[in-house]
Amino acid sequence: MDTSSPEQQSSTEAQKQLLGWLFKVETLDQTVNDTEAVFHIGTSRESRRIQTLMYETDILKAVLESIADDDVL
Amino acid sequence: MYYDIGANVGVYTCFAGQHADRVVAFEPHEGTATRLRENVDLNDIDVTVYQTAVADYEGTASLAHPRRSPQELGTGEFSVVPMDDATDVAEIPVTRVDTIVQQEDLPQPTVAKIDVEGAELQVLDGGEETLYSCRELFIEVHTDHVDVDEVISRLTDAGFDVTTLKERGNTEFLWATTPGAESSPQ
Repeated sequence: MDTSSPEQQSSTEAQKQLLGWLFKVETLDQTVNDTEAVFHIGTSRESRRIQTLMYETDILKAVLESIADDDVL
Repeated sequence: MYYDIGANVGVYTCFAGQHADRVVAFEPHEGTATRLRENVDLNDIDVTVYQTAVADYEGTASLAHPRRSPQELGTGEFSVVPMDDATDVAEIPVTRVDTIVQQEDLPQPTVAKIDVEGAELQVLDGGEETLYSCRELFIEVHTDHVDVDEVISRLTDAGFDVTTLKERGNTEFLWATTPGAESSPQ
């Protein structure tokens, strides 16, 4: 779940757009559960690598659920 | 508090950083660590990145890369463990988790992920004080370099319950929990 404020979300989006405009940075958005993360991709091969790392989504979900449990400790 | 040991370009780090109050990431390869920092900035999360390998000693090591795949970011195949078909990429610093935690006065992690391409036992041996105090550990064991039973033995001796989450080729993903930990991976 994205707990950031609308202002923070807007700021992050603006930062991504500015980076892309200034440095022609290509990015790849990925979502797991309700969490979205964005990654730089310099080449199409790098994009495929990110998606390969994302392949273990079940493990990533387990890690995120484990971290979320900190809230109840 | 989440430690990502062998963070690569930060796939786990960038997701975890949106939920953990703080993340510490270790990545020894210079180009990969640079990309990791860029991804951290892009996601506007609080992550401390250490560009160092982690093992059971302090010093330097040759970061190896297998000849069979191209040298590029995100392959996840850089390792301090000697490989038969490897080229040496660079001399890199090596430290122990317990050492850097003490030197940098880092908070203890509650959750850690270890993906170090065959140096799993060295990481555990160099981080007993820190890692064995975690509530949960996720370890990708590279069985072509490491005896998975030896890793499991280390963890059970330290008081963890260990479950195999997944097996794929020469890797086995272990989930180690302290008794009483209630989370349950899908």
